Amino acid sequence: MHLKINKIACLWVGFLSIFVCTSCQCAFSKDKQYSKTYFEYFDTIITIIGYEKQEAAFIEKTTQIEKLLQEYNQLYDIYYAYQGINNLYTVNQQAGKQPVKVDQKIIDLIVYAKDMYEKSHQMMNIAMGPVLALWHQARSFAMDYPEQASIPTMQDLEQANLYTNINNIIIDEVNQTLFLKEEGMSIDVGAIAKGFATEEIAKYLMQAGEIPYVINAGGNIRVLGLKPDGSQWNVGIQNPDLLSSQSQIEIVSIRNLAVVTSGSYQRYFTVAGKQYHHIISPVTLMPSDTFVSVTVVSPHSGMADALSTALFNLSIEEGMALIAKLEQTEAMWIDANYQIHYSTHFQDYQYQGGKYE
Amino acid sequence: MIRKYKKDIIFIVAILGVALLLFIVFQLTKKPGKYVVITQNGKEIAKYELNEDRQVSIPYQEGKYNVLVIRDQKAYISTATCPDQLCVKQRSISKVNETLVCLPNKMVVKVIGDEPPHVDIMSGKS
Repeated sequence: MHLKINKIACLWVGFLSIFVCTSCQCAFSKDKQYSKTYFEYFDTIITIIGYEKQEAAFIEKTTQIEKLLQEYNQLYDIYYAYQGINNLYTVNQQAGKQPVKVDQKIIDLIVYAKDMYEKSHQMMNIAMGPVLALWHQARSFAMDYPEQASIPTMQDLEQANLYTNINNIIIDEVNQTLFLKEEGMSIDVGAIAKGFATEEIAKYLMQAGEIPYVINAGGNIRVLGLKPDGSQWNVGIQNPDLLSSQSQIEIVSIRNLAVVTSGSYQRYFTVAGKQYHHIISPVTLMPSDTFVSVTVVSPHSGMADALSTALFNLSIEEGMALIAKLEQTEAMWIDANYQIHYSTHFQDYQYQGGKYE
Repeated sequence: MIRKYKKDIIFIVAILGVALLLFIVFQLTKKPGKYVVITQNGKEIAKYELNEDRQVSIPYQEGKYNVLVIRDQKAYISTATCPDQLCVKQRSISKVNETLVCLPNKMVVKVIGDEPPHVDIMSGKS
């Protein structure tokens, strides 16, 4: 008899714990959202968002991510030298002089960038350093002395453009060296390094499987997996009209993809009332004025980054043809009249209430 | 007899008490919702405010439908063409994340707090 009542008690305990647990939706084992922000890498704000049951797991991953960020930031830096390492600054300094032994991570980036040069109809060229440097100087000067701001002369730009042949970047994979054949050449990886490094961080995170994480490198978004509730990540795309009350002009609902938006509103300076932004056409050597914003959704963050720049420099038709050849890759253009154009299958990524599936 | 099982009885009563307390706490901390979102086959098809009373028929294929009623900040299914009628038998919903489900018509009504779409992150803001 005594035994029997104990059995009933056990049953009750079991039943009640199930009841309590479901009524509170298992609050004790629920994934919580954590985030960490870095200000010191790639000249931008980088935020990692992740869902974990334990904070320790998040801290462990972000500690490793910070190490990677630090490393990639130093290796891909074109403006500063760091003690004890050869980075892209070193390579640029040795242009026309000698090959420089570099880390495999630099070789990987340059190989990828050369491939993207071909894939992008030659519209994303990391050898454009000399031209971009003139624009960079003009923009920096304009920030300090807005009254005396001016744009580079066409003569200077054309002179600089003589040293932008990407085939003169010599990669020696066996000896792990990089060599710029001509003096006056320089590499500028501004259109690809951030995206490429973001993808490397995504690769690190994916070692743990399809975990619900997002990397936001200054608006370069890379999402992993699905959120714990099983829904996709909703990524808002910045409205290029910054004065509008609606901050996002579009929402994409995605998993395991990268979203990169290049906008003329992001970095620019003003001369005589006209705005000059940071995306320079390899053809005209001037800022491309066809679009105010181009967004690329792609499985690889480096590709999304490079293509968002390249598409800025191409017509809609050329851009559409380019996108059509790439798997799972779609684009959205906003032209100077704020008209929106979509690539053929962009709608597959558009938010349609998929959150509640 | 009672004395013999005193400990067991105290134990059971204590468990019941704790469970009841937890249940009340969780019920009280549930957030009342602002909207219901209706999805069919995973696609969002409509969204209504919970503080506006209404009755809507949600059509499915070939004359099948569910009738959703919103009254006094609560939503429930009043009639449905599905054979099992499980959705009609469900309790009315009003708190965030509560759902009404009609599997035959592939329809889900879910209570949400804030107005969708919810954006996790922004692209292009540097």
